[in-house]
Amino acid sequence: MQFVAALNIITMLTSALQGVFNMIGAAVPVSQIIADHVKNGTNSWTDEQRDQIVKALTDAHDTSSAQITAAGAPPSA
Amino acid sequence: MKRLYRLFLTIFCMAAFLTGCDTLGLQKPTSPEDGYRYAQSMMAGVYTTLGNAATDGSLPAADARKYHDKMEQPYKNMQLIEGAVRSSGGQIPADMQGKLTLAITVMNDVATELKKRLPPATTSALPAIKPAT
Repeated sequence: MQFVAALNIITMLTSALQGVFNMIGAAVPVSQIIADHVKNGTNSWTDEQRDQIVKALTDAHDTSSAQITAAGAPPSA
Repeated sequence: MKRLYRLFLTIFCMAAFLTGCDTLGLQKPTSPEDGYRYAQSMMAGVYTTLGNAATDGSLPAADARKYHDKMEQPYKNMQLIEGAVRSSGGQIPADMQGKLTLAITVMNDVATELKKRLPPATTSALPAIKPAT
C-alpha cells in the first residue's frame, strides 16, 4: 500500500518537474549557439549573434539533407 | 506511519502546486518573439533528428526525405522572418506573424510524427512541443 502510494507520488512529481522544466525552457536540447542566445532573449541579440543562429540553422538544414542523401534518398527535384 | 503519511501529504501538495504552475504557464500567452525562439529551436531539433535517424536507419531514407521536404516551407518562412526582424530592430512585424504561426504548425506536425515513430533516444534533440498560437 505504502509502496503504491510512494510510486504514485514519485510519478506525479516527475511529471510536475518535467512541466516546470518545459516552462522555463531548460529542457530544450538544441545546438549550443541557439540555446545560449535563447537565454538572452531575442531583443538583446546582436547582428553577429543572429548571423551565428542563421548559420547554425542553415548548416543543420544542409547537413540533414546530406545525411539523408547518403542514406539513399536523393534531394527532391 | 503517521510521519510517513505527513511526508506523502507534503510531497503531494508540492506536486499539485508544481503541476498547477505548469498548467498556468502553458496557458499564459507567449509573445511572437518567444514563438520565434521556439521555432528556431524546433527547426534545429527536427533537422538534427532527421539526419541522425536517416543515418542510423531508424527512419527509412525516403521517409526522412519526405519530412525534410515538408520542412522547406517553414525553412523559407524563417528566412523571411529573420530578414524582417533585423530591419525592424528585433521585433516580429505583424505581417510576419502568420508566417511564423504556419512555420511552427508544420514543424510541430513533423516533430509529433517523429516522436511517434522514433525511439526516445533518437528524438532527444526535439524540444517539448508547444502550440503555435
